[in-house]
Amino acid sequence: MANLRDIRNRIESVQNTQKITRAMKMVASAKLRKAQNRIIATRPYARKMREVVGRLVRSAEGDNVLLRKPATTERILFIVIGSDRGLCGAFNNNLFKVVQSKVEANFKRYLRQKKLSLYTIGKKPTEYFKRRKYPIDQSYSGFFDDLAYHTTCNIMENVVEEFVRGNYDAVYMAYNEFVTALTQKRRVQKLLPIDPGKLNGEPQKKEKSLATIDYIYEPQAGNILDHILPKHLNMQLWKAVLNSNAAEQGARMTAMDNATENANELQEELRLEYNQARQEAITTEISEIVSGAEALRET
Amino acid sequence: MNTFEAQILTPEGTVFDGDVTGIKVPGIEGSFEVKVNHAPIISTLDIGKVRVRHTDNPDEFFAVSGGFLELNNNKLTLLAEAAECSEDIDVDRARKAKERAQKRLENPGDEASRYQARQALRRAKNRLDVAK
Repeated sequence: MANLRDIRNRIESVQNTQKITRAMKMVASAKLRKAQNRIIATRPYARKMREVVGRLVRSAEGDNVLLRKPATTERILFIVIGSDRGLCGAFNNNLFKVVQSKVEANFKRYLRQKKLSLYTIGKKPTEYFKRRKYPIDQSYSGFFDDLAYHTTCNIMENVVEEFVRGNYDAVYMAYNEFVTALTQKRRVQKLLPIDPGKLNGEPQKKEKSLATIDYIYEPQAGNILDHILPKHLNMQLWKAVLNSNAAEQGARMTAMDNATENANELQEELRLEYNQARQEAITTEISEIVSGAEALRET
Repeated sequence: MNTFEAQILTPEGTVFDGDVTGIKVPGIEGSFEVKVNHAPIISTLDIGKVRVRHTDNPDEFFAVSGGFLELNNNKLTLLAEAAECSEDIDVDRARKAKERAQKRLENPGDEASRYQARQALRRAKNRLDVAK
């Protein structure tokens, strides 16, 4: 039988934990709102970018290094976007499992020959894949504390440079897409070489009218494309990073909400146990007194 | 009507959205100005200053770090990876960025990092220039 003081201490510690989880939930939900706004802010830019890039790709007939498919795929790069901090449920692990199964299914040979490597964004993916002996070429931590467009660009510029040099022949990116605060969608997306079919295939309402306009290109369309495609890639990574950030906050909010709920349940159970113990203590005490008094009377 | 719609967009949000009488932009092959009823154009932009002309209010200036513009049917969209209105530019930060870039240029490095440093320096100088 646990004694009364022990139970009281436990109740107190559960209460304290609950205070923390509740605070974390509030913080996460405030951050989530900010993160969502940032996603929304990118939309006009992203839409226009897609429109123009799609059009240029068609008119310049895919004559760009970033569009060209290498004859053989020798080396593969995966960019894995996770989080720096934990306490966000299965947010990281689910994504990592998807990455692993994708690699196992399609690129096992590359992994065995050490021709597949990773860029990890966030402390969690770095730790996870290091433990599993994946080759990591670059890792970025503390990235989400100060989320800025230009730091994302630095990463992407790095990737593009390596791709152009031929150090990577295909680049994929894995991240959590933000759907709602409760759900994330794990996505693995091919970044390089850019698939022109995908650019055309995106639904655009104004597509038809755009295609018939006779634009002046300054300089030629091909040169503009050289200029714009890296920016298009920057945007892809930026969008992924923002999504992952929002998804992380959503996941944390949900996880902390569950934890707060659980703390409530636990407290109820403990209180019941406490009351039982207290009652038992009183009963024993009374019976001791009674039997004591009885004993006195008999003598 | 001698005005047309113009937007300046960045990945982090919309910087400008409104009707203008003219917009002067730093094209990669020299700066040029767009007026109403300009022919459809797609042009890449250099690091530089964008001048936005209003009908009544005084002109506004923006520092942009390259990008491109698309114009069609009197609707101009300028996409830049970074764009700041002259009033919003943090002069201290720009000055610090300039010093940082200059320091990086003093050290020898490979061509790519020197190029990046030069670009950073140009961006910082441009911001300071526009802020004045």
